[in-house]
Amino acid sequence: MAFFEVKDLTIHYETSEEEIEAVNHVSFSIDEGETLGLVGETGAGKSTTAYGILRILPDRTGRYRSGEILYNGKDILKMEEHEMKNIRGGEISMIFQDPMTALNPLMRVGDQIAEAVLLHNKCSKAEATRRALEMLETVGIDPARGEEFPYQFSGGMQQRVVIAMALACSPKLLLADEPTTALDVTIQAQVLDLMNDLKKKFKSAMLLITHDLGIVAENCDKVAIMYAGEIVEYGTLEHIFDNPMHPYTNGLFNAIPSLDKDTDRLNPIPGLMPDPANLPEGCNFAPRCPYANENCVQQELKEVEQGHFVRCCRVNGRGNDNE
Amino acid sequence: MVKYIIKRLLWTIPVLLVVIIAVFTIMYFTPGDSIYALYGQDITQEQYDKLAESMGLSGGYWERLGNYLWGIVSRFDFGSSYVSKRPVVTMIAERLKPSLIIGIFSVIFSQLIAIPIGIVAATHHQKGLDWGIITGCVVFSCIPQYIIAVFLMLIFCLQLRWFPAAGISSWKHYVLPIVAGLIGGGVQTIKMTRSSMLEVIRQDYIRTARAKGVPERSVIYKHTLKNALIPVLTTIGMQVGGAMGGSILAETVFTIPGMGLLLREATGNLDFPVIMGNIIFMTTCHAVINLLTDIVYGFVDPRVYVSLYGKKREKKKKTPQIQQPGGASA
Repeated sequence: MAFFEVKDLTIHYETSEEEIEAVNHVSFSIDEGETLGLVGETGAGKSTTAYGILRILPDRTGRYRSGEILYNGKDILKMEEHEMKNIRGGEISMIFQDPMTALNPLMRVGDQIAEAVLLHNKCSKAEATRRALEMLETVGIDPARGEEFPYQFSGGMQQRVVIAMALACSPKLLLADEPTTALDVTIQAQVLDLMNDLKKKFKSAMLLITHDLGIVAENCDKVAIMYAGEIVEYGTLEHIFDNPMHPYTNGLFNAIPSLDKDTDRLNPIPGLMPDPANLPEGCNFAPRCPYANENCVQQELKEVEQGHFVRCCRVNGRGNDNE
Repeated sequence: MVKYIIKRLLWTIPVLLVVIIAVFTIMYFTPGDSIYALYGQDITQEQYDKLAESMGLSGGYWERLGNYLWGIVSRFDFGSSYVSKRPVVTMIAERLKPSLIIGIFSVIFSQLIAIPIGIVAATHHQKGLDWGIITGCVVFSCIPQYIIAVFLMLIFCLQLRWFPAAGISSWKHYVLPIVAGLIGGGVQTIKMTRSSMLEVIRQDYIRTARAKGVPERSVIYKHTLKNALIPVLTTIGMQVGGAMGGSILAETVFTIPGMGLLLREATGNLDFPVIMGNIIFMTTCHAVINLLTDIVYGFVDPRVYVSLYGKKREKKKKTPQIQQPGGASA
């Protein structure tokens, strides 16, 4: 039973000139302890989805147009602000893309972690600090460095601090927004291993946002492929990697250079993602799709096999296709 | 840190030297003859030479510059006023108090009022309250200080008769000059606080704070404000530096016998020693305030602290240690 479910979530950014359709009718669910990979290009609406879940969209522009976000059956979007306070950082916490800017430069890192502990637990300040230092040790930082400031840490170490902060209250769900994008490749593996270990230790589920299919293959149980604010393919890791059905998913896999073949050129998906303020009629991917024809219309997600959904008119729903 | 402060203080010496030479040179080449200005055009050449001798006005540029500098270095003597014949140092010391009271209080009050207004404007960004505050700032920054001073005087002295119009014989006399002085600096601080808050509020670490459940009030006052005040400190420092020298306009309108009025009188009389003494005093104030601003910076921003003093800031309170590994679980 999924303890966390997003249903038909639509988030738009409203400015005086235009309406940016960042996230459109996105639905997914996460079981306890599970990792869902949210994959897509820059601007596909991945981060907006994560901010939307925590209700930390920019005040002036971010608008929920439809949908519900169910946490243990309760809709986050209908919660009062004081309930949200417990959700944010307590039940659901977030790791950010750029550790260099994610920490307050004027606060000692130990205090920043302790602040999270103090907000979600009834304990003394000394107790919170002690737990914060423990968390630092857990993520592999000498607790004595708790009184240092963020500028004294390298990027990888700062990301460890952010992870320590996010996990300090043993959240049920961890939103990891491209946690390794800003890090060196050598550090990436370390940080991901650390996150996976801690995720197991604290029995958290994770929404792993990334554009790196390699990271998905190693860390995720389920995958959602996002394109122009929509989920175009959704299924288990095996479904997506062994039997990708959507032309976009296929394009992503084809874009990965192979070591076996002697290729001179990379094989990218031609064209650019459509402007989210001006999405095309019909299928969003049609302008870049090698199979597109005039019959391509806006599609609903169709279940092609148990738990494997595809949004494409070339694919027939379950019952018509295989099985 | 002491080393840094001493180094900075020593650096002010060459700065002051350059300022003294520059001011002296400008004064030397300023057209206008102080002796004719004071004693009229009818004095004889003989009288003129005698007066020039006694006022230290005889001799060429280098000789007079040398005498002036030597006087300052050896006897802390900035010369004597041409008009009153009294030493410049004594005159400035006498006039310092009212200017300092007005300057310091108007800076303190303007920050106390302006920083909260700036925060309110930033937290109501592009809403009615913000537009109102910005409009107010534009209006007040367009009105020169002496117009404000005259209007304050018209309303509160002549119409309402709440405060006296001139002099410094009671605390009431100080109220209007302080109010006139705080508006200009206040407007500057409001604009600075607002734009700096808006800048910081967009930063990733503010989003991090929100994501870990920090209530909006703490997000603003604990996380945003401290970061946003760093650039505001600079403007405050500049305002304090400026306020120490007194305000020529406000002191003239309210007849406050302070540094500003002293400078204005001296300028009218071509009383060069007084003018030079005044300018050198203001320069020194600015240099010292700049130093203080930098020291305060270091205590607000740990990155600046390291670059200033070359070492980390130690934490004063004792941090609790982890007792045993694997003791309490997180």
